[in-house]
Amino acid sequence: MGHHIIVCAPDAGLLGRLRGRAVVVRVPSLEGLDGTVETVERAGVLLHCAAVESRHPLGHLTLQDRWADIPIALGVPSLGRVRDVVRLTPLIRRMNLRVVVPADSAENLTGLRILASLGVACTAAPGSGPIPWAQFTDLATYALLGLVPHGPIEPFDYLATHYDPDRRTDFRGVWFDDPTRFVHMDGSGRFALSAAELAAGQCAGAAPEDLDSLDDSEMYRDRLDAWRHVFLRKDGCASCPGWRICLGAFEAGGSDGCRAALAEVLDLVERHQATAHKGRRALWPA
Amino acid sequence: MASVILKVTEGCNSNCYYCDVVIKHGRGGSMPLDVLERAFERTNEYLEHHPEDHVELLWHGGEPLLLGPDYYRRAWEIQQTTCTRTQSRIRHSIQTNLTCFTEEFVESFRRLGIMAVGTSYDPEPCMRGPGRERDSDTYNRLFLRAVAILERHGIGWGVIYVVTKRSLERPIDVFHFLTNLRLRGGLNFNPVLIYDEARRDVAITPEEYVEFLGAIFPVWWAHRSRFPDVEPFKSLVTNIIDGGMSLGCGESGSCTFHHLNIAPNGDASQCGRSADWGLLQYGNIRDRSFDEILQDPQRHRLRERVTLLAGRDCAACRLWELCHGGCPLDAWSAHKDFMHRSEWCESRRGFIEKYFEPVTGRTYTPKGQLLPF
Repeated sequence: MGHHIIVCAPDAGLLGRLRGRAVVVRVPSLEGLDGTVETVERAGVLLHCAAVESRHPLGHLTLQDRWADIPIALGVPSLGRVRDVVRLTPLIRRMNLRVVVPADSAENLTGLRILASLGVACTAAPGSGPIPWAQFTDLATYALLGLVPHGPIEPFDYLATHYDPDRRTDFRGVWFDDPTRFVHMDGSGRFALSAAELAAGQCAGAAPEDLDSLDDSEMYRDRLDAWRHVFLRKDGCASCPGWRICLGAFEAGGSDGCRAALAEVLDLVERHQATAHKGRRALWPA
Repeated sequence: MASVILKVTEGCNSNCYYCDVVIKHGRGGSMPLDVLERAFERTNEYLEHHPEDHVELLWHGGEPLLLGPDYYRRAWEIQQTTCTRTQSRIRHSIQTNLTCFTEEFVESFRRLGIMAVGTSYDPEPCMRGPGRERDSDTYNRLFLRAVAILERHGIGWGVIYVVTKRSLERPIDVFHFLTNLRLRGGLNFNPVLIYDEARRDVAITPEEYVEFLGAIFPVWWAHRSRFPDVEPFKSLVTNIIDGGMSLGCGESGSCTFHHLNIAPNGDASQCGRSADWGLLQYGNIRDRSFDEILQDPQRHRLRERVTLLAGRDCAACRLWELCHGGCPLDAWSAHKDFMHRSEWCESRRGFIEKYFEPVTGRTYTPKGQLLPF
């Protein structure tokens, strides 16, 4: 059985064909969560995570104690009022949950910092607008070098733990967009190596069973090597100092400013790794 | 260690803009297997006479992979039969543009012990590539495909980047491009060497080379733990800061003792460039042993050069031990005489004094070493 985690809709017919496999189930709202979990359990698939997309700010949501053990990626458009978020945090901190917030506004990037300071695990995700890179790197600095305890902030926490100077680091897995770990499947069982490829009909297999031989396919190997194509052009991402931790993750958005930001994030990651395990100075006994 | 350059072919599938093809002689020939066999016999003979020594066989061209995987399979078989007791003291390396490299070469490389490949790359369009138009897109696709195969099989690779006029506008971009391709470095910046007027448009001066390196050096120095293996910086750190000594053939002043080049027909010469230029010809390996070739009287001239320069042109130079007057072939190129220092000495001095020492805060102190013989 292939090792890929399947990202799909909570379609009972499809899930029934995925018995024994791991899935990320996309749930359109919190209201659908209980039903989805029931469907998943009935189908005998392993729930890697329920990716819930809420249209409402975090502070407006009602969370339930019974969801405490369900792995959840809770996507919200924004935080809402901080006092409402603070009201939720005792429960959130008991839950197996990451809050996913689009990083396309300064307000949201500040919100992510507040969430982390409340001990909540969170993720800065691409949104529909451009990322304010100065605030993005501020958030990275807080995430990687901040001395006060705080919740992990993705993708910075992923970089802090996975960056290896001998390898290229692809953090897009924190958004379920990493072809070495995730495939995206439609209701018919066709799957692609990213959400965008599935939407464009660029499929890597026609049925869940094709996943079992995916690692051996030349097409798959070529796709994993696709990052090399950046070196066919002398300009663009190939000459970006931060490319080794980004692999063009923000290229599609035609993003201005990502170059300097990612270069700075790389410096921060290296600084974090150089200092994270060093003992702090022992002070006089209090 | 004796360094033997095996120029197994003068043919090449690329038409690189800065290649000195225009002044090469007898281009196109490849080394027949009987000459290759003779080269291995000579290698064995040398190693039998020098039981403490090693031989480095550098497969070179032209493009050496044009000969195909069978040639390298056969080379390994010849080594097995001719170097029975000495093969453990033979080190193989290869310099290739990689565009012919396929999975079929992997086994032969492994058998010969080639675990790293020297290559070169240039992101600038139409600088490297086949045909009159220099189809760099095709070249680059084949190159990147080969690199993927090498990495899949755990074979290392290092890349030479030739600094040309077109590189000068964006040195930092070039640096990051190459270190993204080779994350830890394994990278060498060499100045383009142009010997004819037709291609002067890409030629650079020693001063321009200094400025190119000088633009990159502060970035490298600040992040040297990220990409440690970048030349010439790494060697200068070894020589100036770490107290070691790491000199290339052009700087060591001692290439005369252990370098020899074997052309496809078995003709021996000092190095690839001397062979291309018809200089320092030492006869044919069918008739002469490596020992005879390495003791050829013409080599005395190169030894005399080092002594002469130490007391004359370079007498007042505090960097002498890092340079030894540079490559004698550079001197010949400018003066039609070996007994001068290389014009590229100035670039080494300029880079060290203008960038290396101020950025690192370390000043080079000569070690007071004797001449290299």
